Amino acid sequence: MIIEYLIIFTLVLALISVKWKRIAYALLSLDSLFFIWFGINQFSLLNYLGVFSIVGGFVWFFSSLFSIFYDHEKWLAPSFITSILGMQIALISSTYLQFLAGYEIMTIPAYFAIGVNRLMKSPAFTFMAFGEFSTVLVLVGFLDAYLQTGSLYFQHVFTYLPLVLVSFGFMIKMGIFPFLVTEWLPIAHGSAPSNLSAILSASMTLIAVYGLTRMAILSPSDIFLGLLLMAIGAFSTLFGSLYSYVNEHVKGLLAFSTVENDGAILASIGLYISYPNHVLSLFALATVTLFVSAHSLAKTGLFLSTGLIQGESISSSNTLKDTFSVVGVVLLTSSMSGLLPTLGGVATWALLESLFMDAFVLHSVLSIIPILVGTIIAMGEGFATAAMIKYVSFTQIFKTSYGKDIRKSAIVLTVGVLVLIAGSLSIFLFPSFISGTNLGVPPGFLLSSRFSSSAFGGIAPFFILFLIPFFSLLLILVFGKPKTRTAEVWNNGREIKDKYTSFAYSNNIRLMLRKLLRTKVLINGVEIAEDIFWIAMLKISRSYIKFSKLIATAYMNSDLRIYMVYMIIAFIVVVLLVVVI
Amino acid sequence: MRMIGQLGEFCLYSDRIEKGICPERETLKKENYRSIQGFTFAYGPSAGGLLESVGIDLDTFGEYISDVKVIPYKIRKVRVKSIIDNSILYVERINGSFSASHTISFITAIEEGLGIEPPYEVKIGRIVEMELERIRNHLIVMQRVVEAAGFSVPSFQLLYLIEKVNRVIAKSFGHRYFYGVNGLGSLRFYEEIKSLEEIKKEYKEIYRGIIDNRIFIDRLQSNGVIVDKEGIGPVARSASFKNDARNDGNYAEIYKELGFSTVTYDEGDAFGRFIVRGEEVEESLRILSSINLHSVEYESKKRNNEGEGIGRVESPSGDLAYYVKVNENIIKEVYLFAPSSYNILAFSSSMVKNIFTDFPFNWESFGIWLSEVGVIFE
Amino acid sequence: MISQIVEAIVQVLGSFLLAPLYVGILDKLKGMVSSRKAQSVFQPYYDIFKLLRKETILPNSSGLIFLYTPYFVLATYILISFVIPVVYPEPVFFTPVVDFLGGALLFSLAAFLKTIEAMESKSNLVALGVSRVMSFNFLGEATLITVFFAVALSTGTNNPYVESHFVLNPSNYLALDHVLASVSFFMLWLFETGKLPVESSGLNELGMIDDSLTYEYSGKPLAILKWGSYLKAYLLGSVLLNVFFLPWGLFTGVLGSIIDVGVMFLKWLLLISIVLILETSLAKFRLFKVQDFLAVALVLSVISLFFSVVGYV
Repeated sequence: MIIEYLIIFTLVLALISVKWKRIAYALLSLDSLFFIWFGINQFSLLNYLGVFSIVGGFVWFFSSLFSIFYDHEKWLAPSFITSILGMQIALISSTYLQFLAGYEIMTIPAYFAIGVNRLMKSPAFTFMAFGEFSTVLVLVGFLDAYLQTGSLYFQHVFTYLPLVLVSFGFMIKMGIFPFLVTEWLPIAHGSAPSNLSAILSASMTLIAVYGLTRMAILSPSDIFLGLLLMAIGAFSTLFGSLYSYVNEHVKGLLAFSTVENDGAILASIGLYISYPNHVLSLFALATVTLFVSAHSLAKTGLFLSTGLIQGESISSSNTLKDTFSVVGVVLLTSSMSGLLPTLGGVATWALLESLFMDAFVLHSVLSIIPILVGTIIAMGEGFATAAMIKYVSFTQIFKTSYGKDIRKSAIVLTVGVLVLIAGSLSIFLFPSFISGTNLGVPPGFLLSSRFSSSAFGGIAPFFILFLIPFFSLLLILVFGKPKTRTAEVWNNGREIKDKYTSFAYSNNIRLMLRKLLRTKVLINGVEIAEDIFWIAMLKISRSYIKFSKLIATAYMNSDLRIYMVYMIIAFIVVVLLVVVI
Repeated sequence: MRMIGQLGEFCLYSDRIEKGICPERETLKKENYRSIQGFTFAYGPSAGGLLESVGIDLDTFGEYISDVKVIPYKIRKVRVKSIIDNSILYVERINGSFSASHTISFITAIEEGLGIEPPYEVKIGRIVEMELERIRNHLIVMQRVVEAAGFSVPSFQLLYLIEKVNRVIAKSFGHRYFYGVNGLGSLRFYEEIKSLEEIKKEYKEIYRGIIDNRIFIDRLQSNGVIVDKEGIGPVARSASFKNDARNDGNYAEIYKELGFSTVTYDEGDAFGRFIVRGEEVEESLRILSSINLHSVEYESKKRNNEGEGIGRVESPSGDLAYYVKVNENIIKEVYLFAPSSYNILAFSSSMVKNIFTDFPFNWESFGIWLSEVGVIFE
Repeated sequence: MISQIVEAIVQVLGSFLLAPLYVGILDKLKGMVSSRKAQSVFQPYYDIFKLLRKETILPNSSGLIFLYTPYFVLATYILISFVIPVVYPEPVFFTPVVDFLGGALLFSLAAFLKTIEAMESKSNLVALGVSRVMSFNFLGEATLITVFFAVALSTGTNNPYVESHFVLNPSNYLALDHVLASVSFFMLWLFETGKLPVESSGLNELGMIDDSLTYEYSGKPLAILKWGSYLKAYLLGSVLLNVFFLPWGLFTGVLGSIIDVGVMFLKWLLLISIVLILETSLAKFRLFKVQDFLAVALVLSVISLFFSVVGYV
């Protein structure tokens, strides 16, 4: 009950923010803490969906805290809070309609970011077109579920058709291959501010995954749908990470990395849906929540860190940096690269482990799919590491400092440390998989993966977290600290004029994967068809626009843009009415 | 008739000189551009992969080379405009590796200027020097290329062979780099050249071993292609042009007598240059085996007291020419055409559109010596 | 418990202290084959101790990460030496901290840290090398992970110790999936340790791949990084020997663990002699051909995975 009041409180905050945005942000961060508490309560009843609220709470908490020091545009605060309002509605929804309402409200700022901020015609329409398409699919899916159960409440459904429809609807929203456009468009082309990007990228995905997971739990399992989703997820991981690696836009790189993570999450949802056996399916479900947490937290931190960067292109941007931000971003990128003992590392481990367990459990020709999915995801992880090293190097480490902003970097560091420590706590997402041995890892610390009663593998993230610094200290004690003398960095005996660029850093892969990226080496640079999917999507949406233009001119005979704005406003009103009812 | 290059205020052709600037070499032209994505990567002058001090500016947008600029760091003044005997000492030391070629070309130019005709035996002696120098330098170039490929065994074997050749030279001429060997009126020679047969045998074995390695060949093939009709040295010969001062330079007649045949290859890439060098070593060894040499003292009978002359010989990396204006015993003017000046141009043009890791192979395959490029005579 | 702690200590010290020796032996033999007198087999130790005494030249504007991450890198390798069968054929103390896949991820962690610390030097030459290292990362990492899973799928557990017992049986040892995985892992090992035909360390800066990561280092951190890379080569090589090539011959028990150090020495002499042939008869691939080399390794390991689950239907 309290939680409904919380929603109304958020709504009020959205209104307050028009005038007093700092106060609104501060109150919003408190509001988010309540959501964490709500999620913990939910999870303690063994409801995996609670994890989404916990993670959402953390994301909102950090980004609203960050916004207090960051916000500089007028329209930003209301749309930021509106987006969070939408997510909150979706997360506490008990009916399909409530969920859909929240789902649409949360997207409004994205429309805003593209449509109002830049007034670029075709990207906005493309995004709108796919947004609508996604909603229609989800709506039809829910409708089918309603027809089956006769209830608007989330309930068990009898066929997997609603799940299929809903899956594809959410996949569009998650920017899954080949719908990459919906993810990076608002961020890269709309050039959304850092805090809003964090919300758009980290938690919009969260809600889509939430919806998908919720429907997956309520639907009968289906091995073929599951394998299909795994395959689609694998390709998203590969292409998302590859495009992220070659991307030169500060936020575009991160947006593509979100696509990559969404792919991995989709693969684990697919594994859950394919239901190889009870134990493994449970492991996969926990992996979904773990992966979502890892991605949302780390990505929030990374998007907030873009608030320290001035400029859009990585090569030419300037960075505010200090020890806090450097360490923070290193931790965040190591988590995004899937390295132990961070949260992302445990998530990657769990995903790969579950995929290969699946291959073993299936033990048939079908095993080829999880094997290939696992291999492709492993390759994706390789690209992701390269992309993350590019990000951390060329925004923090390799750059000389341009100034510092200790308040912002303190928040980035906090999220980084949280991601590191949460790695060790993450094993509690797998309550029935925790064990221990007599070989140094006592009961309660070992997360063992298994598909039956006996263990397949296992890790103890806390021990990694503890042992590596412990051995490092030991080494420092044995070898001592280095005696240092400072000198200019060696550049073949010459002064450094030009510094290595981030474009050059990823150029090797452009040249190596010429066919895949369609690299063209021109006389004055390199061009890649990074956007082949974007071009295809643009074509599709153009014909859609032509179609809607026809209708628009037939009915309204006025400027198309006004029509769009009108549609949005009308939609919000309808949605709000539905929620209140 | 072919163009060779700028010799001071003249343009040197294989059969004449013309006053003025040489026409631009069309094949070596590069488009001038710099991309927005690109930057300049500085390599050298002080780097582990470079033997001499040379700065190289590589314009790149990552691994891919879009333009190259070679900046010599060995600029130095050499006082050759003095008494002939002194100036020879300076010329000897311009580039130790090509010392014989430089000195012989220089002395030939003086002889032409003063109308001196050295005896046949001296000419033969000079050819022996230059061929030994060629063998050593080709081996050095091959060793550098092989080393860049991480091909350790042949690399060390070649180093051993280089040392052996050096010892042969030192034993016969008294100095590894032919210092003090040549003079106007003398050619120092101590003892008969021995153990060439042994070198020949060992060399053949090593060379086959290298050429049989598929991975190594792959590194060189289609790397740094230059097809320049007006080119010089191994660069031109690797692209099937028989440009060689041994055919049309000052000692062409004697080479003809010795049955010299020009080695060519038809690709124009780093591999072609490697093969040309590799086979020229054998050809040089063959020539040397047919010569019996003795120490010679001769009287330099001057026919005129002043004059100007050009001496052009084939150094290991291509035509090397001196223009000398001499009056009595004093050098008045000296111009030098150093093969490396052409090779640097050819290198910079061939390096474009390749990638960074091809750089060492291509660079070494030209056999460039920076020390002869940055020389200012005074 | 106590015996397992002792075995762990023997295993870790046996790896840590002897790792440089194997490099020294290989270098000595390589020198001898290329007709040189060659340095002492203890040269790596001399180098390390010399460097430990020297001062460190710190590139200006690089800081704590540059200076202290090398300790973390070496610590990560030390942790790995607890968890995989590199000397002793049974799990020892702390072995359950990570499984085989976790071990692969720890190798990635060390590689990540090495790259980050190198980039902090802000040297263009380092950035050049890092861009190369990273462009092969997707194949390297995927092969490492799949090849470790090749072990898991044939035994149904992601535990290298089980696999090394499993392949003691000749029919399992000669099974196609095991052979393919072994070849794949051997190729990966050549890549990871910078051996020919993939890489060779020389003086040439423009050809650097892994060498660039230590390019700006000197003194103590360089010694530690060197030791780290010796240890890495030892760890991966010993997995190659104990799990893939030569699973036989190891003893158990506290006394057995000490004998195992000697057994490992003999096994390594065999591996060194194979590497010696490759290192002295091959040249270095073109940069972009490295990708093909790794792609072959990856495909082999994936085929091996297919065989291990589909082959026994």
